[in-house]
Amino acid sequence: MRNVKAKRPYPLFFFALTLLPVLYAYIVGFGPFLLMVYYSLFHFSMGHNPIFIGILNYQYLLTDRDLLNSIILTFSYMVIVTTCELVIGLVIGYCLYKVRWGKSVFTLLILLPMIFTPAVTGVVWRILLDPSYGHINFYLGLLGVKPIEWLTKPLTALISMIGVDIWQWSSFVVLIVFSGLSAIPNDPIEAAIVDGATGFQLFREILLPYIKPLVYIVIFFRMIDSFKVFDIPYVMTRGGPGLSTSFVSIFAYNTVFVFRDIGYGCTIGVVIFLIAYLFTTVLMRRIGSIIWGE
Amino acid sequence: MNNQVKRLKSNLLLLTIYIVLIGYTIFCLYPIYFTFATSLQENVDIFKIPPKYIFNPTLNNYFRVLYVYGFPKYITNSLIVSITAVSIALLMGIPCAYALARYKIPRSKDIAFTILSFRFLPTIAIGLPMYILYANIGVYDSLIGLILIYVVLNLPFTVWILRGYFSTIPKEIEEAGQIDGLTPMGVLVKVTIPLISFGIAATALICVILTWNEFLLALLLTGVNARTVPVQAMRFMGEISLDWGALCAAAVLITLPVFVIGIILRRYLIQGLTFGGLKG
Amino acid sequence: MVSEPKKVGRRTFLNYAIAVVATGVIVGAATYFAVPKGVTTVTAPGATTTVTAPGATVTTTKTVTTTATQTTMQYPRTKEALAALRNKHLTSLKNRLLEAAKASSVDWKQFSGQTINLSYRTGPEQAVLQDVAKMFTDLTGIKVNIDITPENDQITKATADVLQETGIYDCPWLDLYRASVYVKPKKLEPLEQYYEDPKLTDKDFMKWNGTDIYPAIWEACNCPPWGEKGMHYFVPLYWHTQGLNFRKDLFDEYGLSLKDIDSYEDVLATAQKLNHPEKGYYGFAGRGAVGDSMNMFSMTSIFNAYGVKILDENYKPAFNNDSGVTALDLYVKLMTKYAPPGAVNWTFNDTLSATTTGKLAMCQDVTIWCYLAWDPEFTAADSPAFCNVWVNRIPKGPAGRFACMSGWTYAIPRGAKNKKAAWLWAEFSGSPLGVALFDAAKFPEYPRPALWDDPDIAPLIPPANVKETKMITFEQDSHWGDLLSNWLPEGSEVMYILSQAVSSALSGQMTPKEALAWAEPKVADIMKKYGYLK
Repeated sequence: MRNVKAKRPYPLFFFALTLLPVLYAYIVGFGPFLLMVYYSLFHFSMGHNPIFIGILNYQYLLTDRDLLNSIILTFSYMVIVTTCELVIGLVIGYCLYKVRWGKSVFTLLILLPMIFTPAVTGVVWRILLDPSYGHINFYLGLLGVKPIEWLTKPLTALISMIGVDIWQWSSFVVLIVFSGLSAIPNDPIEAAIVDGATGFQLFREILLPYIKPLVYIVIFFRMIDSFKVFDIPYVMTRGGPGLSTSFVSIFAYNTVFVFRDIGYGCTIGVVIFLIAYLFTTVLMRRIGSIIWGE
Repeated sequence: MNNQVKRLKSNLLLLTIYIVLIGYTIFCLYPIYFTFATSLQENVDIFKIPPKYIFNPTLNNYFRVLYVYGFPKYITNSLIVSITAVSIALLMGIPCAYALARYKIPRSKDIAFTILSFRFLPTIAIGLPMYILYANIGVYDSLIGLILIYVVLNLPFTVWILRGYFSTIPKEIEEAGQIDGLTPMGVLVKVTIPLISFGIAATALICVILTWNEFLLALLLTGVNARTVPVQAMRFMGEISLDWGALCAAAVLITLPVFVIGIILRRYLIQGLTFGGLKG
Repeated sequence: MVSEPKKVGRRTFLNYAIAVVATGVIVGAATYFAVPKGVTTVTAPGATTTVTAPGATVTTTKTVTTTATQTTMQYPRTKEALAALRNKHLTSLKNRLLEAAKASSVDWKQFSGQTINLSYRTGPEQAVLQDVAKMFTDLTGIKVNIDITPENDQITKATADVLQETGIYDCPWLDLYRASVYVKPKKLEPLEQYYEDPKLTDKDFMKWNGTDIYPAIWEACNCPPWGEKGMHYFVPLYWHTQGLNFRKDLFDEYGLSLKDIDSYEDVLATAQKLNHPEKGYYGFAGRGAVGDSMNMFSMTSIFNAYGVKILDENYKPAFNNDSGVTALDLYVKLMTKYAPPGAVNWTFNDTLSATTTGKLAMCQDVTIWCYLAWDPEFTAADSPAFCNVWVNRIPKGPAGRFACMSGWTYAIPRGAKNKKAAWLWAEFSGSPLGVALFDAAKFPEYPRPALWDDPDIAPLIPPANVKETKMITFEQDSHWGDLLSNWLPEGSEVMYILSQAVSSALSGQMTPKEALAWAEPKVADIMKKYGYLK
């Protein structure tokens, strides 16, 4: 028994069990992707038989202005949303860290938006943003602002999407910052205070190095998750008005279900996957080691 | 004199901090309060401008949602799908996490990150081909179909979070078990898992939250029979439907379980959602 | 990396869990026992709303007690009176339907125990639909699940279901605007197989085979050129046509009659006479917004009236010629000189609200706008348009009159699971009395000639030249091939390009000639892409 164990540092049985999830994930998660690549080589209109056309879909994709706009829109959205949430999260997280009374109450209340079902968030905010009866316009009206048609005009629709995303996920950032700050050991801080550091200096010299990994974590998760955005824009506007809130996922979905073009939709899906893969790998390489230390 | 100024300044700062915090909390809570309040109002009151803050509560909206609009069916669907998918993910994930934590599996780092990457892929990229596949093989609009794919989304969590928990168990306890004559699997089941049970429960609940909230795959892969609760929430909200009371009642029913779980697990949520990226 | 599991935490956690589960059980038991069971399962709110056309704003109404302008038929002018009249006749129709069904030779109970799934869009007929479903279930023992969703979602989901043969819906409610999308790939069951089966159908009860259906609509049910000869795939429910809605009171004031809106040239002259922004109304409006069902919906009638076809028999673009330019030029003149500011971007919501608030003297759009102006639930009683909007045939051009039509129907997809049970539903609810029920609920758009004189229907038609207009429009002015999107699956893409061209002409970015010249190669490209052109 002992000899067998000395040969391998792990039981073969467990090795097999380790590979099981990987295998399952590849078959069920990655297999469909290969199917999508297959269909992207066809002209496949819903209900009709697929016709092989090779890379024609990809050629069309390179000239598709609407898709390009959608990609640019999605990236702008990612950057704006991540930045805003980062700023808000840092400020609020720091505030939370500084207060002495009420930490647990605040954390409890602040975490609620984060776990609120996104589809339901869309429904509720759509009601709140109703031009005639929504509370947002009511409160703005008290400040003298005329009622705004939030979801039926392109610019305000986009602003609404960004706003709702900030509402939902800034608490995620707040809690990350707060947890991170709370984990800072007290000694360096006390030593610095003894040495006569003022509040601002304290912040810059002592806390910043601890905040850097938190910032990286936030950027990593929020960037990746906001690229995938679908639930809230779809529920609130279905990607409209026009194409103003058609982020890439919604664009692909509409291509398949509204324009009934499965072939081209799959092409877009492949491209979305490649883009996500590319920048996830980049982010992983640069930030992953800081986050997980491996 | 200097001290007094200093104290005043720091008190002022504290006051500002509190104001900012309270303001942010109100910002976070208002829509949630609104949902709960509206679900208890009659439709006549809901459309009053300015909003009625004090009103007679009624449970009519809930009755409508549950008995006229057929909502319990979707709650059942969501429950079945969430619990089953999470259970399967746990069954597969626990041995894997244990092995990755305990043994020197070759390329364990690659395996771990591969599993992790399935959480980062854009859902539409697996959803669309799954839809086409399911439509062709007849698994469309079935609970099994949904469960199969939700397992893939839950595996990264079970493996990563539990790997962290497993690595905190000191080796001596396990070796004690081995000395007692247990096989490695037996050690896992009889010794380690009971120590971790709390962590497993927490992981399971986090996964349940995420599966319950999932929307895109449910939208793509379900029709009438297997529809889950977030998709039904969207369907409720028609262009002409002004039944906001029922909408909010449905919203409350959908999010209440998630809230309860979230509040119980609040300490572990952040660790879970960042796959243990936060230290401590 | 992760904090140690706390043993104390476990206990509190268990406490929480028990509390939650206990609360859940108690609440669940309470609601289960407290509320009576046995209500039909209906998904999505069957709103008791007063909003009719999608997106239209609900205007507050005041009860009008004066009887200033009594119509000869004493058409009700208050919400309560109209609702009472409707209820009276709807109830009568429901009873007649049930009696006729029971008296028919069909064995309704032959599929008792099955379940069928319907897909419907949110709309004013929802409440009636649910009543009819309940009647049907009582009659046949077939359980009916109705999925009610907003229009765009309903179209997307139903289309995907029919085309992919996933069998979710047994009898979806389909828009003829997309008929070719379903019929070309042969995804719908030809319905003759059920109609000719004496066990399933009583022909006197259902009267589906064109005996009591307008020929243009019956042709639409075959969906040429894709449907098989002699086969029909749809059971018609109600049918929109375009017409010219106009303000009768303004016409009387200016001494105008129907002759002054007979042709498009006449309409142009009349619009000039009636264009008085200082008095609060403009001469004319149609749809202007970009979109296949927006400005092109209005423009297609005008194109056809001037003999302009979008595609010729060989699928080549055929609109870039003198007649096309004349037609577009006419519309641009009407919309820029005699229409309210911003009309060049109007959707059907805008034309509707402008009509019912009295901003327009004439409006070319669906004839429904006229009925809504007579409906006190929709139009404010103090609006100048209330009960003053009449409707007439669409104006004619050199090539004739073409009132683009579109309709709503039942169909049975090839992938449906309970086809015969679905056919029973289509028979019950698509029979003359069933159709009358739906249409009487809000809009008199009957595809069946005999219904117009029915004693339960005639009182509900607004006395605004409606019956005369609709009957002759169905007989003479509506043709299946008018609207490209009806019969060509890729028609909506072509129409979208044209809609962009029309929009740039309306906004003055291009002249009509340039706009059509811009659109021609793009349309040709689309036809090439789908293989119609080499």
